[in-house]
Order: sequence, then structure tokens, then C-alpha cells
Amino acid sequence: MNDFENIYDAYNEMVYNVALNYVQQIEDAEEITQDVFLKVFKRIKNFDGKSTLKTWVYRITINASLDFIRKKKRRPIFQSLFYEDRGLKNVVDIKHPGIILEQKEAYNALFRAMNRLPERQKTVILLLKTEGLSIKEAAAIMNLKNKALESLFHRAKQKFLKEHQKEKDEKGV
Amino acid sequence: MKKESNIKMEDMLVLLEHTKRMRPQSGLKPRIMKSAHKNIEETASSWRVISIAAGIFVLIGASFYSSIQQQRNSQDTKVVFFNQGNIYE
Repeated sequence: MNDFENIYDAYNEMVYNVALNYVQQIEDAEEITQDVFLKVFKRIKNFDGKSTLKTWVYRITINASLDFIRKKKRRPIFQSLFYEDRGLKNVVDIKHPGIILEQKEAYNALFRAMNRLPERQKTVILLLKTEGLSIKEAAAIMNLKNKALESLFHRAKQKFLKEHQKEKDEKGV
Repeated sequence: MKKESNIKMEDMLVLLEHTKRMRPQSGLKPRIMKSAHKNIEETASSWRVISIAAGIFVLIGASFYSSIQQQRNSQDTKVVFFNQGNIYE
């Protein structure tokens, strides 16, 4: 139990911030953080040390965040008839506590465009930009070669730009 | 036009880099520790249930086996008596 507490102390901020950048809601990020640490607690005995502990925790966090978003998208059929908004795609107001308030609108557009990206593209942007990881670290987490990660990042940036432009056109900015 | 897009892209990415790092609220740690403890208890109690169920299964199996054995023994005895009866006839 002490080992688990040490892991929590070392990684809770990292887990929480990754989750927060995926879902942009405090309550959801807390739920994901709780889920991640329960998974860590259950699986720590099976941790084989092939990657670093940090990489392993990152992977669990990314998978838990993506699972959470997927579950949110899966509404019952009758509800999906009435709600066009599925998941985070069309969230109007981003409730990310870490954004600079003076630039709230710019951040809103930014995260809305991010939420329209495919999972892997969103992940690579989050790891390299908000987490500030190196290509090598991000590649290890995503189980990709450095070159493959670089090209994924390139595609992600292109798509992101398109989505951001779409976002602006829809809002008539 | 392309140059303008590139500048905007870099600005946007810088904005992402400047997203503040947040700390989870202090109540989260005790909540997670409590869940972990609960998980240990649940695992222990489910093992207890499994071992009790296995014990009951073994007992039932043993009593079933012994009743069959008893039945066989009594049939063997009958045969012996019957045979003995024939001999005496």
C-alpha cells in the first residue's frame, strides 16, 4: 500500500493534467484519475518493467481518457435521436481550469478543434505540446518509431488547422 | 496565405504549451486510497466466497460418492446372500 501511495504522489498531477486536457472538465478528469489509479493498483504486480513506470502510467491514463470519451459518446439510441451532440465534439464552453482567462475564446476554439481530431492525432498533440514530451518519450508511450510519430504529428497539425478553420467558419469569426 | 496559416498554427500550439498545470483537489487522494482498500477487501471476500463454495462442492461430492459406495456395498451383500441362498438350496 505504501508503494501505491508513493506512485500516487509521484504521478497524480501528471495523470490529472493529461485527463484534464482530454476532457476539459474538472469532474470528468477526477473520475478518470480515480479510475487510472485503481487500474495501477490492480495491475502493478504485472508491471514487467519493459518500459519505465512513467511510460506505463501515461499509457493507462491515455487509454482511460479515451475510454471515458468513447463511453460518453455511446448514448442510448432514443437519446441520440434527440441529441445531435455526441461526446465532446460540439461542447460549446470548455471548462478547463488551466486556461488563461483573457484568451478563453481562443482556447475554446482550440480545444473544440482538438476534440474533432481522431484519437491518435489528439494524443500526439497533447503529449508533445501540453505535456511537453520529447519525440522519443511520446513515441515510447504510443508504441511507435520516432519517424512514424513525427509523421503522425505532421498529419495531426494539418488536420487540426482544418478543423480550427471550420470552427471559425461555423462561428462566423 | 500559407505563411499566415503557419504563423497561426505556431501561435495556437504555443497557447497549448501555456495551458497551466493544475493540481487535483486534496480530497481526491483519500478517495482513491479508500477505493484501493475497498478493492483489497472485495478481492479477499470474493476469495472467501469462492473457497466456501469450493468446500461445499467437495463436501457434497464426498457425501454423494460415499452414498454410492454404500449402495454398491449393500448390492454386493445382497448378491452374496442370494448366492449363498442358492448354494443352500
